Amino acid sequence: MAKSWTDKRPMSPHISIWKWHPTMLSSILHRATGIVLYIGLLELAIVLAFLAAGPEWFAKVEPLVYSPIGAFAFFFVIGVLVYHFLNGIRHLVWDIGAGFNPKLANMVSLVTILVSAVLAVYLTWLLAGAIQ
Amino acid sequence: MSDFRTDLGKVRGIGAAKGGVHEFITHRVSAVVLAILLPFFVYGLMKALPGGYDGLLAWVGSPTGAFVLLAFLSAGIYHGRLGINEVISDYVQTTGIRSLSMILNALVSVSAWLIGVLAILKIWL
Repeated sequence: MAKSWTDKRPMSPHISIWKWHPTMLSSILHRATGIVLYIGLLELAIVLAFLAAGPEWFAKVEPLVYSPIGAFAFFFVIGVLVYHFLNGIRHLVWDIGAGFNPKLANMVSLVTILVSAVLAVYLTWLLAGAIQ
Repeated sequence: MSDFRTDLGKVRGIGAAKGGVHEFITHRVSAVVLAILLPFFVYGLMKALPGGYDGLLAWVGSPTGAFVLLAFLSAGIYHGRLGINEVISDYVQTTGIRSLSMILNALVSVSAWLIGVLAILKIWL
């Protein structure tokens, strides 16, 4: 893009020269987690199909869920899900025009990330306890 | 000047499709639906997963489980498809590849939705 830019006048700031701040991070994370969750939903549909096909078919996908890798996948996806959920509620609040105070918004961003990490650890721990 | 569209914009024929407001609103409405369903989905999943094959089957086969899963999967794929379309329209600059990506997204979304819904119905009914 920079190569084809011939206009000498000042250009508005682009990604590379922004200073990182919490609301920017949470906005990028919202989009990234959304993409992950979409892939997660596709996987849910496929696992449901294997479940519906009978025990011998489900046995083929079972190791994906009931294994250390499966536990990590659960931890990752549940954290991503909780984050997108909490930050999504914040986006709905933003849509009605509230919560734009920079200090508050930055704090909410950090709290949201922290809470989703804690909940992901807790839910994974709960599940691991229930499976054993 | 009563017409604000440029000649080039008219020739390209890729102006507003007049569907943006509908997508904007339904994206948010589906978000509200998903926010309400999420606790039920996570609770059901947490209860069913330790039971293995039988536990999952009992969850999907129960009326509440089937309802939560059908609603969550439907609202989720709808919401996700709109989201992915937004990402595509933000980052893909060539009109042809952009349209193709969105068509592919539609095919993948509808296929996954059908696969999931048929599986839930087969288990539940």
